Amino acid sequence: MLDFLRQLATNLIPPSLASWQAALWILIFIFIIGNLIFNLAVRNIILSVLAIDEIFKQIRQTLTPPKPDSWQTLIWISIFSWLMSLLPISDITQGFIATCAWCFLIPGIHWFMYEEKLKVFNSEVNVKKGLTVSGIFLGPWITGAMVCILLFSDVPDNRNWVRFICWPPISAIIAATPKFIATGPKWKKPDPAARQDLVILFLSNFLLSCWFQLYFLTQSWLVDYPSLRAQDLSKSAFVVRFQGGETMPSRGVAMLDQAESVVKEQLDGQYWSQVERWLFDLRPQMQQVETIVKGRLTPVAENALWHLDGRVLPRTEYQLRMIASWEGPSANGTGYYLTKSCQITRVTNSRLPIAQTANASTQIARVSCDPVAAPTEGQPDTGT
Amino acid sequence: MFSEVLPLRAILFQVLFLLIAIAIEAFVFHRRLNPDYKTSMQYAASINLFSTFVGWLIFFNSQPFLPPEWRIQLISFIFFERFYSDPLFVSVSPVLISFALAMFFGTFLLKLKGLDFLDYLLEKAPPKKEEVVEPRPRYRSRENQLLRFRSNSRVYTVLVANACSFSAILLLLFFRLVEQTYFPK
Repeated sequence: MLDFLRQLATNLIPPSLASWQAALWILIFIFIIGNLIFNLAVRNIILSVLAIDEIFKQIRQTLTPPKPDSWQTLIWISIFSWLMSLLPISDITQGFIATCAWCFLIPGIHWFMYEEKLKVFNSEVNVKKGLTVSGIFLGPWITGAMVCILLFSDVPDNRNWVRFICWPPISAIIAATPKFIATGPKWKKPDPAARQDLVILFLSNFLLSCWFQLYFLTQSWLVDYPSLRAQDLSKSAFVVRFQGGETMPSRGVAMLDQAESVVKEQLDGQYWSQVERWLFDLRPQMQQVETIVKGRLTPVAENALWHLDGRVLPRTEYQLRMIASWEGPSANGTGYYLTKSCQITRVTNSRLPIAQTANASTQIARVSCDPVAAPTEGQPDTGT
Repeated sequence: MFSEVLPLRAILFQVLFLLIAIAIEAFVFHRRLNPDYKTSMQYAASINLFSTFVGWLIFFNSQPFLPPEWRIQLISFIFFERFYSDPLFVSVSPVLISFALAMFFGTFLLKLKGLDFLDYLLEKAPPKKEEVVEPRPRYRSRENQLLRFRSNSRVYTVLVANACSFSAILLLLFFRLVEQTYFPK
């Protein structure tokens, strides 16, 4: 502890005038002096100290348990056990005591939400009324959320849906419990009118769970088919896109960029005759490029719906146009395609002696590509 | 934490359709089975929520077992409200029609069973089938038979209520289609 303080103190000594420590000390100094002048000029310091004292007194009054069985007691026990949970070194003990803290906190807060006459700052607050929206008391859903967080605290983030799907039914159970408890306390069977309400309560909460599940289902589809995000979703009767305007680039762009590097690896710097042979066999070569590209991209289900093709434009020497066409669901129903053109030019090999450059077989190819062009609707025509 | 693509439209449409269906069915129950308005409203709400919930359950549980082509069609339908690659639509539409029919009769059966279950849960005896006083054979006309068939009321009422709510929802969907086709934004 002492070491830590010493280290802190040495850290806070400004090494030079233009350091953050100097700025910090100047700020603190200005704050203290400014505050002092302000308080002396406007009102005296003692009064302001008293006001702070008053606030603390009020908070203390609110948090002091009026009787042994009250929500304040539970909150204090929970704070106490949380502080205790910081002491042990072993993770298991710590986790256990922290869980105990939760177990006291949840009923404490649940109880607090039923408080109808809470005295804060000399005024009464009806917490229960504040949490009631159009006749529905929201308390059980807040408690339910906390119960879900506690129950599924070990669930990893990628299985987050468990929490959301269990939340409404657990809340419904919490909301329904008072109907099953008679004074005593004793178990009781709710009367038919209450049972009717319970049926509607449970069914509507199950429906809420279904909506959460629908959300997670659409998300899993978006993970499998990321290119869906790149498209116009305004026609959909199911989903809506927020933060509109900017659309993600289609994965076709990444695919064509990857294809560019594959083609460069295969052709750039090769002998011109080999390149011409490659271009002559374009179709099987592009299929090979497609498999390589798909192997390098992240493997998702949508890869099967992309098709890579290439053709050499007629009367050029040589312009290779690569086409990535999307054959999956799209806003217009027919898909779309992206293109990228590459110029393959013949240059003399600078590494060889000049005497040999006249010979065509020593000339090598250079590949340079344009950026991917904007998508075109429909499918590319199948002509070569 | 939440992504920018949310199924909010589906939820809003579902709420709207549920409200319409509950209102219409409550009205039909009120007219034909004569409970008070509140009870018929609660009944309609319960059975509609129940059939919707079971429908979602069937959807979520059957979804992983769909063949991949169907799955893509489903995704296309949900994200773009159309089936992709139009030639396939010819083979999709009979499937769609049989699905719609299955949905109608499925909800009808679910609602009927749900109503029975609700009666059991609330400890209400199901309304006794009205004893039709057998008229003398010579007065038994066609109309009378029809009347007797109608008064075997529970099943018939649920059928009528279901048909009414489905028609109203179809009408709304039709309006939406017209609006999207002829008055695009």
